[in-house]
Amino acid sequence: MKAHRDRAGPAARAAEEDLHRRQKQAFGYFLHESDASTGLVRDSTHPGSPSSIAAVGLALAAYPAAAERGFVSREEAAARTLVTLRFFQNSPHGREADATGYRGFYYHFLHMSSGRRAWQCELSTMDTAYLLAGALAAAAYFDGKKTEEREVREIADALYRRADWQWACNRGRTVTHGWKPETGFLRFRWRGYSEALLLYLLALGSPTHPLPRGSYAAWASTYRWRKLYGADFLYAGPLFIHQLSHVWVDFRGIRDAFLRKKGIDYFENSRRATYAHQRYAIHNPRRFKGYGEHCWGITACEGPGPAVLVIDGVERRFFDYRARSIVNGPDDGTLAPWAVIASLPFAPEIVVPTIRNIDEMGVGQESPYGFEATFNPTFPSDSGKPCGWISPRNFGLNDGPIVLMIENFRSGLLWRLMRRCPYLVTGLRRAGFRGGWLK
Amino acid sequence: MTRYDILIIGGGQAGIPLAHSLARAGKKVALAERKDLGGSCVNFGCTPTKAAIASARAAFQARRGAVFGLRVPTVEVDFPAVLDRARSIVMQSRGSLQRGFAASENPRLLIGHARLQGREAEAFRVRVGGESILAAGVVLNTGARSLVPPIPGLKKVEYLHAGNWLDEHRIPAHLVFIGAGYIALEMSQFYLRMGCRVTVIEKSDQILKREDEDIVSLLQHLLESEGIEFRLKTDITRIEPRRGGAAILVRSNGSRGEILASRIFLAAGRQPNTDDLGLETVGVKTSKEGFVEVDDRLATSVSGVWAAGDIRGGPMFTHTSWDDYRILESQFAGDGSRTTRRVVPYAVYTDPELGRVGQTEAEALEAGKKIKVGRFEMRNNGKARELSETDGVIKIVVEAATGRILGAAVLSSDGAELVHLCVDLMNAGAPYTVLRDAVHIHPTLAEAVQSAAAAIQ
Repeated sequence: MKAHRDRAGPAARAAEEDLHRRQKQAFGYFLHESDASTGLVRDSTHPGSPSSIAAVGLALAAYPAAAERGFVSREEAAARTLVTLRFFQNSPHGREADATGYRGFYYHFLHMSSGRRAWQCELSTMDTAYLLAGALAAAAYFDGKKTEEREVREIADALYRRADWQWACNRGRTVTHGWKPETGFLRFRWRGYSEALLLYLLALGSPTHPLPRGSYAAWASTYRWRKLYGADFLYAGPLFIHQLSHVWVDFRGIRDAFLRKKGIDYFENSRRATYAHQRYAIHNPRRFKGYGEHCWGITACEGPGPAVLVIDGVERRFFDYRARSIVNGPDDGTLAPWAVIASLPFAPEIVVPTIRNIDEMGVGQESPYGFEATFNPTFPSDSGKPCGWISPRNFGLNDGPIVLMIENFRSGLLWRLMRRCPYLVTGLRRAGFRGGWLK
Repeated sequence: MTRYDILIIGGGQAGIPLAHSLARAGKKVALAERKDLGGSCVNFGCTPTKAAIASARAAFQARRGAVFGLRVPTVEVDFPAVLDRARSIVMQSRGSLQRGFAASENPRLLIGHARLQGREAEAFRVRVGGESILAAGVVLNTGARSLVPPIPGLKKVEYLHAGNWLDEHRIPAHLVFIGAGYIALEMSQFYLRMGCRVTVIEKSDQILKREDEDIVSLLQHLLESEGIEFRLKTDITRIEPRRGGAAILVRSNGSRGEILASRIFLAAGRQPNTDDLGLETVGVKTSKEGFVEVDDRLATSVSGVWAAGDIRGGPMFTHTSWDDYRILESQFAGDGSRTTRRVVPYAVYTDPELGRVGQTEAEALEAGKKIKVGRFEMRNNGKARELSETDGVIKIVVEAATGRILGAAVLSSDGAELVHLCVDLMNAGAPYTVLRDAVHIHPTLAEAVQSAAAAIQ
C-alpha cells in the first residue's frame, strides 16, 4: 500500500485520503451506536431506535476492517466481536413471542436494552443471513491462538450451524421471508434476483441444515435479464440489491449457470447496474432537481414524505421509506449517498467524482458519521443547500456498506476473508458457481 | 347531634394527616370515609401500581439476563402472585392508617358516605351513613375516579380502570388502553411485561400531551420497541361486545377500522368525586367538570369549606395532596402563610421513568421567556452504561437572564429520583450553575443531571 501511495499523484492521494476519512467516519456509527454489553447496533440514529440484526452483521464484518485500518486495536475488535457473538449464543432462543431468536434465526429488530424481539417483528431469514455473514467474516479474520479469537471462531461456527434453513423453507423449495410466533411463516418467499443471493449461498453451504440443491435454481428461475440505457444486465431496480451480497462475496471471475450463459459475472453485472443508474439520472425522465452525471443513487431508503406538493407547477408525491427503483419507480427525487459509495469497487471512475459532487452539494455536514442516509434536491428545504432536504438520520445498514465496500475497494479484505470460509465456498459450488478463484 | 370543629370528608393523603394534626392542635375532628382509608394512592394507585411495576421490572431484568452474561432459561409470570404481593403491600399501608384511628376519640373515624345537608346556624349539617353531625368547618378530600367518556357501547362491556385493575386475576390476551396519559403508559408497560399484548389508543397526536414532543417521542419509541402498539390520532366511534372481549371501532386519517380486544383498560382521564356530596346545599362552586374551585389557600367559595387533594383541580398527585394538608394545617393551626404557589414535580413510572418539574421547553417559549436549554443523553453517562440502562435523555430549561431553572425532564432509570436535583434548586431559587459546579459522586446517574446543566447554552 505504501509503495502504491508513493507512486500515486497528489490527486490520487487526496482521493485515497478522502476515502479513508469517509470510512473512518462511517465506522464511528458502529463505535457509538452499539451497546457495550451485547454488541447490538441501533438500526438508526433515531431516538429510541431498536437494534437491527443486519446492522449487527455489518458491524461484525466492519471490526476486522477497522482493526486493519487502525480505527480500533485488534484486541478491541476481538472483544467487541466476542461480546456480540456471546450475546447471540446465550440470549433466549425458542418459540416464545419475546425471544431473541428461534431455530437459529433472529428477530429482525431487537429491543436495545433487553436484546429481545422488538415491536411484533418477524424472525428474519435475510437479516439473519447478514448477521451470520458478519460472524463468519469475523471467524475468518480472528485466526489467532488467543483464547478470545478461538472463542470467536467457535461461537461463529455454532451460530452458523444452528440456522435451520430447511425449516425456513416451510416445505417449499425456496426460503420464506420469515416467521412470526403468532401467525407462523410469512407468505412471501425469496425468489428472483435480490439481496437474497447471499442468503442462498450461506444456506446451501450449511453442514447441518443445507437447502436442497434445487432451491437455488428455483430462486433463480424468475431472474429478469433487461437492456437499459444500452447495457444488458440481470435486473433489479434498487442499487442495494446489486451491492449487499458483494460486501462479503468476491464474485469476480466466478459464475453461476445463469450468468455463464450471459458471459459475465455478478461483479460485472453490478458494474453495469451502477452505470444504468448513472444513465437514468442523466436521462432524468421525471425531471427531478439535481439528477445528473455526478448525482445519482436510487435504492431502498427513507425519504422526505409522505407528502404531495406542487413544485414548479408539477404535482410531486414524496414517500417515506420505499424500495426506490429504476426505471419504473418509485422515484421521488430521493438519492442515497451510501448506495453510490457501495458501488465503489464496481465503477470507481464514476463513483469517486459523484462522492465529491454530493459532498459539494452539502450532504454530510451535520452528521458525525459522514453522509446522512438520503437527500432530495427537489423537496423544499430551508437549508439553502443544493442538496435540498437531508435525512436527519444515519442507519447501520447504510454506514456498514460504506465502511466495507471502501475496504473491499482499497484492499479486498472482506472478499479475501470470505474466500477462506469453507461454508461459503461450499455454498457457491452447490449453487453452481464455477471458475475464477473457486477452481 | 354531635358537633365537631372540623369534619374531613374523605380519608385520602391530605385528610388523614390533617385529621391527626388538627386533633393534636386541640380541635375536635372527625374524618368520614365511605370505604377504605388511604385514598386512591394507597388502595389502587401509587402503592399497588408501583409494587406491580416492581414485579414487572424484575421480570424484565431477569429476561435480559443475557445482557449481563447470565443464562436465565425462562421467566414465568405468576400473575395472581404478582397482584397478591401488591395487595399485601396495600394492606400493610392501609392497616397502619386504620390503627391510627382505632383507639382514638379524637380524631374520630366515621364510616359511611358523607353528604352536606345545608347549614344549621353557622355550622354545616352533614349526614354520614345513618348519622347526622354538625361541623364548624368542612374539608373536602373525596378524590377522583376514572372518567368514563361518552363512547357508544362502552357501558355494555366490562372494562378495567385505575380503580379495579387489582381485581382481575387473569392476564388478558390483548389489552387495549383508551388514553395515553401517565396511567395508561405505566400500566401498559406493566401488562406487557406480564406477557400481555398491549395496544394504546389515543385521539390526539401525542402521548402525554402536555410534555415536550422530543421527550415523549423518545419514550414512545422505547415503549414501541419493547412491544406496545400505539394508535395515535385515532377516534373511537363505538364499542361492541364480542365473544371473549370487545370490538373497538375506530376512525383514523379518514379510514375506519376495528381493534379486537380481549379486555379494555379505560384511562381517559379523571373526574372528581363531587357529584354526590351535596355541595349545592351550601353553595360551593365547582367547575363544569366538577372540580371544586379554591383559592391558593384551598378555601372554597363558601367560608368554612375547604378542599384538598384531587377534587380541587390542578395537579392530582399524592405529594400535592400531602402538601395540601400542610397548607390547611397552616390555615387552621399555623400562620396561614403556606399556599398552593409551589414547585410541583411529578413522575411517570414507565421504565425508563420520566421525572418532571416546572415548565416544559414549549411552555416556557410560549410564555415568551428567553431561555437556555441543556440536554444530555443517558447513553453518555458511565453509570447508565455500567447498568446497561442507557435509554433516555435529560433536559433542563433555564431562564437566560438569571440562570434559574424553569423546568426539567429526566427520562432515565430512576428519573423520578433524579429530577429532585432540579426541584430543590428551584425551591432554593438558585441558578443552574450551582448544580453544574457541584461535586457529584462518580459513578452515578446524578452525574448525568449535572452534565445536562453543563450543556446549557
